[in-house]
Amino acid sequence: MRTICFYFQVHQPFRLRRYRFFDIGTDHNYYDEFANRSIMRKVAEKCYLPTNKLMLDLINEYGKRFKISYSISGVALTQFQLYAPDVLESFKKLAATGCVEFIGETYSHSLSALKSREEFEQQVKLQNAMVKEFFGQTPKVFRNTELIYSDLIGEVVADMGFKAMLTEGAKHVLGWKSSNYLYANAINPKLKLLLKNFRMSDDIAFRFSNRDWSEWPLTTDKYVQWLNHLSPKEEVINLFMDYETFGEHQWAETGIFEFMRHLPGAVLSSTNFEFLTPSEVADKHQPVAVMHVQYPISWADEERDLTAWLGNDLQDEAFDKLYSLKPLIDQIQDESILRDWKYLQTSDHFYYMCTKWFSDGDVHKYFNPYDTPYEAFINYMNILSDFILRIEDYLKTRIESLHIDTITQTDAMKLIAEYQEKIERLKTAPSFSKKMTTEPTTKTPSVKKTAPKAKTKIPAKGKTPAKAVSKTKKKDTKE
Amino acid sequence: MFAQSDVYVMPSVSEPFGISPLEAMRASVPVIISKQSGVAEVLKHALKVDFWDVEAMADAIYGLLCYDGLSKLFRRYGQEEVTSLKWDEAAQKVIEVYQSLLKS
Repeated sequence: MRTICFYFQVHQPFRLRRYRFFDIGTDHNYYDEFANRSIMRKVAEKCYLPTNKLMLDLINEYGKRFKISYSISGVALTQFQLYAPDVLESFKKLAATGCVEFIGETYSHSLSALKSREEFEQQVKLQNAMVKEFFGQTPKVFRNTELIYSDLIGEVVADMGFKAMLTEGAKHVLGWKSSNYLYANAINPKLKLLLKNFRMSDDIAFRFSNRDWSEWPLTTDKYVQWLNHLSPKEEVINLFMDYETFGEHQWAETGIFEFMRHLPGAVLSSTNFEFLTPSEVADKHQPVAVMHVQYPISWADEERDLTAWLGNDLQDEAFDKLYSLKPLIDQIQDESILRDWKYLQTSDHFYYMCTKWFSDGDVHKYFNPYDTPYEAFINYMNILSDFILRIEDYLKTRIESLHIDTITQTDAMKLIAEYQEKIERLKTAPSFSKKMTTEPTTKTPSVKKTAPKAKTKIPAKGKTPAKAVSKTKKKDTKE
Repeated sequence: MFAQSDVYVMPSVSEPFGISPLEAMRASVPVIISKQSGVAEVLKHALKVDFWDVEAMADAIYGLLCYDGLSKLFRRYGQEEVTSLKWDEAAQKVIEVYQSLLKS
């Protein structure tokens, strides 16, 4: 028997509200409560509730023969608790059937695996505890945010006791090899790898309703035929996709629900495939080879790399600044700060800053609440600035290294005096007076940045209180 | 003047085109322009705000001054974008419009 492994990703970020410069230091609420609630309700009605019902029906109909798996990010679970307890209930019902496996991931759907092993492990543990609490399972299989994987990440995951991990069957890594087998991690071969069959998965997830696609309309008969045409030696077909594919990315009108309703029956009756959960796949099949992935891969875009989240100047600055706070966060017990620390790590915030949409990406635009990546960046950095002020308030120190770019009050006053003197001098000089009056009023005077000399991390106690700092900043831009 | 500047702002209420932000970009100064200017339709590596939106403008100015990533990005690509704006290309577009009309 060959195997089909279904895995669905469920994730909703805590979207950030429009956070203005004038809010820094005064308002500590970062989230767009209305958007989060209304989007969650909309997706619940269109996707989660009907699809969960469909899956439950299918499991009841085919008994133990139809199996699926989910990974629900911790931030999504938290939002279910807040806005959609009915969805959480329906997932619990699915869990009770015994045909559904829940997979481990990071609580915040974060990119921490690329930056901090410690943070990564903490988040995975938190997520595991949550899955255990809600669904009564301890995840044995792991999937990282957006299927990001490299040899090193795999090693960490293996050390944490997972027996298998899901990732993308990226063409540039596999080359001539097929994704339809089990592979193993290059450093610790005990960790088995399930690779996404991106062609068969994306046929459902992306192309299903695309009328320009030569294979449209996709029917279960056609899909089953494709499955039968695969080389009989190929063992596992991994169909990984966003759960929102059903009803949200592909609307109900496209027939996606009917497709899914009839697929298990057609597969079970006219092919030699069976449905298994990822851990059963890992138990049943043996890896054919180790897979070497030196640089991280993901399931996003054509490139299958990290460029949707990291790589441009905006993303790198925001990402580095966020994780530079990690040592400070470790000293903090304040619950609201720790909560925001987790929510701010969600990968979606960095996705919004992606500049690839200039060339590529209806998908990017579809998910993006901001008009431009610049807005996304400024908004995020404003929030981060306020977050840093809160951390400093809590620790009662000022960390100079975090403020290298901002101007301190004394520096600003010095600058203002200097410029005033210059203006006076120019006014009195007759040859320049003409030039000054014809100068367009729209131009802002130049403010040269001067970095404070103290670059060391030695905290200077109470040098400038938080509020005074933000006032100086305002002054600078107004002057 | 540009060499001393970190930011250039053109908050015009209405501007048929607005050539001065191009000069600023040429000198590697990041620009903020109002959405109500003609040049806003052409430029990609510029921050665009509504002329009446004081808060967005404050955000933009502060962002360019304090968050290095943004000004770095603009400095890197802004100049390139401006130098690729040429009359030759605009003329070419006009010719293409004429030709497509002649054909039909």
